[in-house]
Amino acid sequence: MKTYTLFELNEYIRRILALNLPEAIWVSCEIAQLNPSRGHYFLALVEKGAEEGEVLAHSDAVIWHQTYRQLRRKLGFNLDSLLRSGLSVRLKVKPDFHERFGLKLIIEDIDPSYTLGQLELQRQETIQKLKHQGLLEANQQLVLPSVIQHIAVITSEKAAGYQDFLNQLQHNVYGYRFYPKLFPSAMQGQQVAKEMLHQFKKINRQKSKFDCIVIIRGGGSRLDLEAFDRLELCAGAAQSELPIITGIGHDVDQSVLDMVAHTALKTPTAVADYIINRSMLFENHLLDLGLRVQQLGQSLIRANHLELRGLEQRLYFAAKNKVRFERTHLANLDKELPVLTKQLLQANQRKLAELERIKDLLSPEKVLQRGYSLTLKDGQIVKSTQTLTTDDELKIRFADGEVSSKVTKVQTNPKEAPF
Amino acid sequence: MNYQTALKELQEILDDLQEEAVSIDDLSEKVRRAAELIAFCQNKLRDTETEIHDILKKDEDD
Repeated sequence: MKTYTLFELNEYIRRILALNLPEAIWVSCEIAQLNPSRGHYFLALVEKGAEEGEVLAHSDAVIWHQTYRQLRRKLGFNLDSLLRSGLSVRLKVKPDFHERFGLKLIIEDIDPSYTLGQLELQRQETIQKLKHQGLLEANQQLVLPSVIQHIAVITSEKAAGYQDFLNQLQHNVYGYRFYPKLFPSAMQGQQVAKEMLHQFKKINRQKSKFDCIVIIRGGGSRLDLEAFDRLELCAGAAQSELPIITGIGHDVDQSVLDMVAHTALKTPTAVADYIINRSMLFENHLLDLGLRVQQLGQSLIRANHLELRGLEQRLYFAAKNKVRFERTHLANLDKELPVLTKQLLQANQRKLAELERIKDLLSPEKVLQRGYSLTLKDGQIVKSTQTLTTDDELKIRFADGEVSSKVTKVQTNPKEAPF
Repeated sequence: MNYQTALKELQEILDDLQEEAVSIDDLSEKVRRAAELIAFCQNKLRDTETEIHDILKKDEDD
């Protein structure tokens, strides 16, 4: 039997391979590992079995520097998103067998739509599972405070979007104060789910310090969103005890994380604007309430003022009436005073006149005229017989003169017995 | 002296005059007193009216 050298064998294998596979062919596989080196990309490709950890096939592959540049020109940044371990890819490869280095698949092209399709399938699967577990709308049930001030921000510290977010918050025109606190996490690649879940736990342990969680990242391709479609991450987010606002969106699609979040917005700047706007709406509401209180107060005061004005009018007229009444009363009294005085004087005059008439009536002349006479002894009026004795000389006065006489007999009437 | 006591005294004087219970000796004194009381009451009324007007007018200016 002929013995071949190893080189001869390998050269033979190479020729067989080249002969049988003259053209490049498309294969579907998963990228297990990726090592860039001097512009070349060395990959380990696998096909996994149904069992956990089961590997059905394994091959080394390479994208030569020149091909990489061509692909880069064709696909742009999507290329880097596609070249990521764990992703399912469809590659156009030409198997190349080298006598010394063995089999290597030379990658000539990559089909992004295949990966996107695969991701979409994964995505739908994640959504279905979340729905099944009742987690899709769990975070939306939480109440987002009207005023958000203390913000737990999950993002990559160096991300441009984070700076945009902070600037937008800090330079708001209303002068509101916000207190964002960074919880750093990778925002792309294999570490996203692990780091972000870690931060969710950390934030929820001190949830009383925060009003909400904000997850932002500063742009990237659709393929970068793949991390945010992972079931584990989205389930963790859905179960967060604080409402989540996302600013990781893409113009066209929504990631599953956006779907489970309380509020999903496109960009970090949009998240900042949303938070500022909420405070502004709240302040407007407060101002509105203040205005209504003021208006109600004013109308209440107006109503009371009117009532008081009415009472005041009544008071004024009542007081005026009272004064008028008193004035009339007083005027009457004033009028009465001279009348009564005059009446009194007249009454006294009448009394006086009466007295004068009586005096005239009782004057001695009038009495003498009526037939009475006046007896005088020594110029004194004799009022009693007891002052007289026999032979006393008396003068008797009449109205028309007097006579002289002498007492011849004194006879005194017997004394009347006392009562 | 206030309005009420002044008015009461005035009324009593007038009652006495009407019942001719005032002697002539006291008459001019009583009448003078009555005139004083009337003047006092009139002043009091005028002052009161002005005060009422001022008090309530102040509020109307608001």
